[in-house]
Amino acid sequence: MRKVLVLYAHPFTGHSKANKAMRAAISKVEGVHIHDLYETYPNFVIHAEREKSLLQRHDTIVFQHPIYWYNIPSLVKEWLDRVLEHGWAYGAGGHALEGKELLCAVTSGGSEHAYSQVGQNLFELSSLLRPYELTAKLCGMRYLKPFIVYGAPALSDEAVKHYAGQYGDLLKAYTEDFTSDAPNTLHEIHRPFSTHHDVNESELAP
Amino acid sequence: MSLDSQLKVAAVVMLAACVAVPLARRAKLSAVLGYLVAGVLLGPSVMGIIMEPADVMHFSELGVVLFMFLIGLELNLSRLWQMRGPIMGLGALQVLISMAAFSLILLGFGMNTTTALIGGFGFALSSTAIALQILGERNMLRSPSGQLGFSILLFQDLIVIPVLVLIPLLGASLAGQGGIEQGSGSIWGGALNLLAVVALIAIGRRFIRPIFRMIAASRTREIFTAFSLLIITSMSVGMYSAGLSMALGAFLAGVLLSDSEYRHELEAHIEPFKGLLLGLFFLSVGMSLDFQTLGKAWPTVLGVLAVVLILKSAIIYGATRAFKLAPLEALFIAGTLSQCGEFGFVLFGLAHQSGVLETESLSVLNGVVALSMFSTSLIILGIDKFNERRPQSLETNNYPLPEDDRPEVIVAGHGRFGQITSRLLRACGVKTTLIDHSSDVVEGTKRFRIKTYYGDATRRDLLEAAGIERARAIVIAIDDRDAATQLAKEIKSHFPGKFVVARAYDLLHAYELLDVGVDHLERETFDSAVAMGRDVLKLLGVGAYQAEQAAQRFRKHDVESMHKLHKARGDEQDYLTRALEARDEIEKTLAEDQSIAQIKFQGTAW
Repeated sequence: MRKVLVLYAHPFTGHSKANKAMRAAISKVEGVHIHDLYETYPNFVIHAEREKSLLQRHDTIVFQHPIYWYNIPSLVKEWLDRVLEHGWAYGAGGHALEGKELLCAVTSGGSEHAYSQVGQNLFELSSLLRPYELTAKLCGMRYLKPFIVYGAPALSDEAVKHYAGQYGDLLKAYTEDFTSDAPNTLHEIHRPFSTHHDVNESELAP
Repeated sequence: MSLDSQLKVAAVVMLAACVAVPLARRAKLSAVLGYLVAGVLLGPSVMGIIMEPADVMHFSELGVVLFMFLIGLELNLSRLWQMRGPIMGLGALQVLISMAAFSLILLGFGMNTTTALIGGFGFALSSTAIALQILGERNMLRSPSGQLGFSILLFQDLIVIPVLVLIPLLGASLAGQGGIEQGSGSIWGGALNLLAVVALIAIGRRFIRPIFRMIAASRTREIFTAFSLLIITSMSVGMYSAGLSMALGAFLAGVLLSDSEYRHELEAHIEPFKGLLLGLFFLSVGMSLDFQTLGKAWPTVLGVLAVVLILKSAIIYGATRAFKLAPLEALFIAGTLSQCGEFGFVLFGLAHQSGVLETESLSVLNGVVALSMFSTSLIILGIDKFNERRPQSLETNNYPLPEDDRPEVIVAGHGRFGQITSRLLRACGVKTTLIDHSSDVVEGTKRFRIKTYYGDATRRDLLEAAGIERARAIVIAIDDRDAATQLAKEIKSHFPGKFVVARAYDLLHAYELLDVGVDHLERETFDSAVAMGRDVLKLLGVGAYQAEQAAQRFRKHDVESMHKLHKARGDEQDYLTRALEARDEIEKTLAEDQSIAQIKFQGTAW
């Protein structure tokens, strides 16, 4: 049995659609521990020691949150700044997170098309998640293929249910011990760091 | 006395007590004096409503018995052992010298030897009730001077016991026929009884606890009380039949139970009985004050009184000085303990019943005791006035001056508020000097190895001794509002360049502090009240983040309003308008605040 830690970061869960459903889908999965950041640290004063001990006790670390302004919610950033200490997570003597996995499970307002070279957001969402990728690299973690729910506000109830179900299955798979023939959903990517694709002016939509 | 006349007496007595005692307390006098005066008024000497004080007195002796029981109960053997030095040394010194002196005085006034000795001893004792009340009021119980005073009182309590034993025996041997209260039987019978009682005590110790536990488990309050009274009365009767005093029996019963876990329950149950019955006792003493005799003997009474008060104070002053107490403190303790105590009444009453003391002498001695009790309030008043006129010395209550520890922050007032602030500062490595004017606080923090200096932080010389010149900030956390404002003002004018941070009792006090220019202030209830509101929001299901946002916005706005309103304070009209504006602003802010309201993004969020 592997342990999955979900760092859930939504400032107003009550108003959420997709994140709320995703959270509900994983709440009953054994081996998954949901840690609500905005609920635990409403005043942004992170208790680093407590977080570190949580991290140590889990194998897969999931960051679940909406994308705000092409970026992560501010409390997640504060968490990263405070918890991943030199000498613990990285740097000399910093091996606490080595071998663990890092998974982004994010929802966006924009559609998949918008987040493409030809779309209005110019970049793929996964490139906007590079900071996570680099963080994982520095800490010796395996960076997994992000789980993205595009265009969340416009989704129908069935679509939300579908994606939530997929999310639930994904995390469930990570709670099971790995065998040699792992299911397809475990699509592990550890790309070497590549330069971003230059935007071709002619490809931009008018 | 028939029942209806008994009830009539009871009603009158209660009425007198209800009137006299509150009046006495109002005049800052001890309740004992209220009872005495009521008794004097009711008795044959004045209004003559109750013509047979002896009847009342018999009944009220129960009050004395219960009183002694509670004394025994409060006896804390380990504390006694700790204080054995001052108790044995100072206490014994005081009692012996006083007794010797007073007996000689009484002889000089023409009393016989036995009377002089008994009177001398009775006068040597002070009133625990009055003295402790005074010390308690001035927060001096734990200070060195208070402790010495307490040792004297404790020794007096202890020394009464053997005397209470001796007097009936003295009476028995003197009189031969014995009064109504005399124990029966021969010396041998008495000794056997005593042995039986001692055996009972030994056995009792074993069984008292389990029995109490059973009774406590039955959860019937009256049985608990009944059992306690049973113990007291059986021991008293036992002692009595052994030819000793009932009061002693009760005292031993109290000692027997003093280390049981039911001690506090016992106190709570017995205290009301004791209070009333003892009051009744003093009432009956007042009633039996024979004014005719007193009138005839008034030169004696007043003469003895004056001499006793002066000599007693002098002896206590000398004795406490010998035990290294500072002059002013010694003077205060001498004044506090100068009166003759309730025990005097008890002792003289017992001696009278045992036939050792004549009625005339009883009146005189009781008169002296009663008048001395009245005198204490006046004496203390005098000492206070005397102290006010003197230039104040820094050494108060024998505590050392603050030393200059080169602090960065001086915390004036180390009570509930100051302690928390200073803890945070010290946790962050800031060097602080803590000052408080309560010896309780000084002693209390000492237990945690935190040094609080004793003193009145509003005094400039004290602040200078503490190193205010080099300090960077002063935290004013004292609870006296006006003193706090005054202190802030003084520091701002005499020690410029220091940050002054003050605790404000409420909004009005905050304005005063702002007027004198404090750098920062905190209203003492404000943040905790806001935090509580936030806690309630969370319990009602509002998310922690939203609740926190709401609370912080509310807080910020309120602080801003406070400053705005403060500026408008001069103008009544403007102030009202401002206050209304402020309230509207808060409501608007909260309503508009995005964190609380619905987020609008195509009607949903993701």
